[in-house]
Amino acid sequence: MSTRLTLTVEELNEYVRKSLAGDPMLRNLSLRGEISNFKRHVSGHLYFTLKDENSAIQCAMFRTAAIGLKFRPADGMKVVLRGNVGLYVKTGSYQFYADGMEEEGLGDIHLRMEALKKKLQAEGLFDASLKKPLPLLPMGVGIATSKTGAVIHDMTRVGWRRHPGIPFYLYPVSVQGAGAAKEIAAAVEALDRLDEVDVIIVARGGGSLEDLWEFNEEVLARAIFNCQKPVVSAVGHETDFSISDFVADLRAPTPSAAAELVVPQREQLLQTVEKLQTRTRRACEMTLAGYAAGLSELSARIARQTPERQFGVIAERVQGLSQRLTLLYKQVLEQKARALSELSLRITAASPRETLKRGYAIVRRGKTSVQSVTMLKPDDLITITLADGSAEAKTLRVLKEDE
Amino acid sequence: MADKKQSFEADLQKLEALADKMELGELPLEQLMDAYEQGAKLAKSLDERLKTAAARLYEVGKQKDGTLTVEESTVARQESLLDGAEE
Repeated sequence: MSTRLTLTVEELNEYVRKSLAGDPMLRNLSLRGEISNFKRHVSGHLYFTLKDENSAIQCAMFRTAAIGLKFRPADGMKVVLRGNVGLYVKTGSYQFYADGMEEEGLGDIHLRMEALKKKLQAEGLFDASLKKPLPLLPMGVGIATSKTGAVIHDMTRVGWRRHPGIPFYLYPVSVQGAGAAKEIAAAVEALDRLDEVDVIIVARGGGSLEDLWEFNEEVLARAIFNCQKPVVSAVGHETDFSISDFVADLRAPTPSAAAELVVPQREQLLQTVEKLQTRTRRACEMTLAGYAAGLSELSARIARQTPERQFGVIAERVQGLSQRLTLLYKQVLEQKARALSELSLRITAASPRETLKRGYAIVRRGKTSVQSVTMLKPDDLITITLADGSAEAKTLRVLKEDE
Repeated sequence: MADKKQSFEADLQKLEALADKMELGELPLEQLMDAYEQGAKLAKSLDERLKTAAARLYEVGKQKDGTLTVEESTVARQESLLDGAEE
């Protein structure tokens, strides 16, 4: 009778882990290979794949060991690890736990990329001065990426969240494997010809350096460079750089980020427009307020200059003058009056009546006053006027003195 | 169609330039009123353009003679629209 042992998954994994741990061959060994899929976890632990031409193994390096590294491990680097082989019970995956790492030189892929980068840079394909600005509000966004996979969904979702009215034009391409670069280059060229599109994104989700390799091909770099419309390159994750990133007008860390960079927030633009309009309105109000203030100041100034006001001033002057005049007049008048009364006194004093009062008399013959005896002859009728009356008389004789 | 895009950006810049100019406070009243009217027109047209674009996903293809074809995509549009609408 054959007995079959039934284990739980955990029991199996634990068993294998122990056997691996117990094999002296798998302890404290050195392992040579090229880093790929390198990730630095927030905890500080490093996770990557170490590979050579035909094989690969998952590797982990914990923070305590990673801290001592004198260089920054990256995809494509050839390294020699020291450590132990183990099994991660939770996933059943067999991996290499590295305690130490030494750089053995840059990987071939990395070197090839560097060489091409230098060449294109020398040709001026990366010149910042040739970078085209993105349209503020694209009328259509061209995307060269895979028809399958999450990338196109993520991009449209992010884009439409920012502006629900932006149309996307997907040119489906394969984004990895031999020939993909040529396909993507053709897509860029086609989208460049499409009138509805005014900005183009070349996108690919995360992957290993090999997966992303097509974005390092010269044919794609040249297609992006020759594109009349601005091109955004969004390949892999934030830490991945490709030649297409350098030659593109803008590099986005991820495809979603590219959608974010290309599609403006509609609300923000609406606000911008509104703010600008408010500014024009304020400017009008300010200017009008300025005019109003100027007007009221002017009108105040005019009020100060009005005829009434002037009449007032004149009237005041006139009043003052007339007061002075009245005073003067009175003084003059009084003076005159005094002079007059003096005069009248003197005239009174000089009047014949006063003389008559002193005992003199006026003698008249008819209407003629008699001033000389020669004017008289006997029996002339004369009138003798005294102070208090007159008398009729007849001349008896005329006696002339000294004759 | 390229003009349409150009004019959004250009019109926004025009509006900004108007605001700048008006804020200097050196325009005669009549020119100021003209500038305000012009600004209001620009703002309205910018507003309209922001509100009338259509959310669509198209698929672009190329025929053998190089002619481009544009068709509404069946890929993801509904899903993306739903996702977009949720947020």
